[in-house]
Amino acid sequence: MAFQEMGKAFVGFYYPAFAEDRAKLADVYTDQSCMTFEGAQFQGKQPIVDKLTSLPFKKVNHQITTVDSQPIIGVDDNQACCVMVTGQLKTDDDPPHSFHQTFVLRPANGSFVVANDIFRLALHN
Amino acid sequence: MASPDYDYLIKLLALGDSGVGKTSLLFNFTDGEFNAGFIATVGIDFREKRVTYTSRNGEKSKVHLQLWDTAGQERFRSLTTAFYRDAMGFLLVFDLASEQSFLNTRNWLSQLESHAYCATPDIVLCGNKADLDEKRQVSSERALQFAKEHGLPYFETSAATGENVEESIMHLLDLVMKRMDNTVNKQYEEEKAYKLDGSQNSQSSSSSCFCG
Repeated sequence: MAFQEMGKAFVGFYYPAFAEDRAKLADVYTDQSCMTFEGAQFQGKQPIVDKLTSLPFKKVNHQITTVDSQPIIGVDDNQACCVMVTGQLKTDDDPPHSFHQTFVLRPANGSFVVANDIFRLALHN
Repeated sequence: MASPDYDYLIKLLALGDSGVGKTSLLFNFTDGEFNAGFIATVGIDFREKRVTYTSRNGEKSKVHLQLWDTAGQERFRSLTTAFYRDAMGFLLVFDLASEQSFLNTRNWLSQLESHAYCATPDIVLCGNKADLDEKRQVSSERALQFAKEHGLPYFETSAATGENVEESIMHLLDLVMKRMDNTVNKQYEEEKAYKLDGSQNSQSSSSSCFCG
């Protein structure tokens, strides 16, 4: 299904870019983008990229377990897409952590941008 | 079930920025002993060690120390409440070769204030990597001044040479044991006071009742 593939294609771009150079992710966010990272809220390309590039690790690797996508009916001629990712990530020499991340992708100039991005490590009480 | 072969189980936490050497410090203290391991869903690591504690009246007791360590999730600023739960003392570690890690001890202190079992828990401040003298960014005077302001004992430690590692952790244990001792004694005194004039106590409480 098209939305499933769109989600997978986005994930296939996003996480390798995150690992290689977080500053590159500036391209996928706009000044209207919202990000909630571990409960902290950021809005706009620069604040989001500043947050991502300031995370204190050198190496990071994401292992994706699942990617689920849905169209958002009634938005952008039904072209917008909601993507939920689960997986594990490993930073520097730390043990791996599970995480969840949800994106809302909206069409823009023949491509897509991240309108919303919500990230959490899967830690429990 | 067999009763445990120790008198006290004490849970201590190591806190501080990632990379300051918390894990190495605990590794040094426990001689590389690595039990039970990583609890993935909570993101916690812990090590254990048996020590003997001598109280101020000379009584010896066997203490089973559990030293809890983060597993890197502090990089994301996500320590869950489970991490702080039941912790009796805190080892707040910064890197003497990292100004930023020293500045961040303030944030860790305020985190502790809101998450620990009380607003003024027992904390020992450790300036780690004391062996890297040529890379030092935080002077002993500055660290001491900060420690004094917050009423914290301060040690300069080195996980590499073992300098002050045992001293700092045992000092923390001492604070925790003394606090426990005081609390228990206070409870005992209160209980005794209650027993001595128990009838009066119950009378006064009923007379202060709103319906009374």
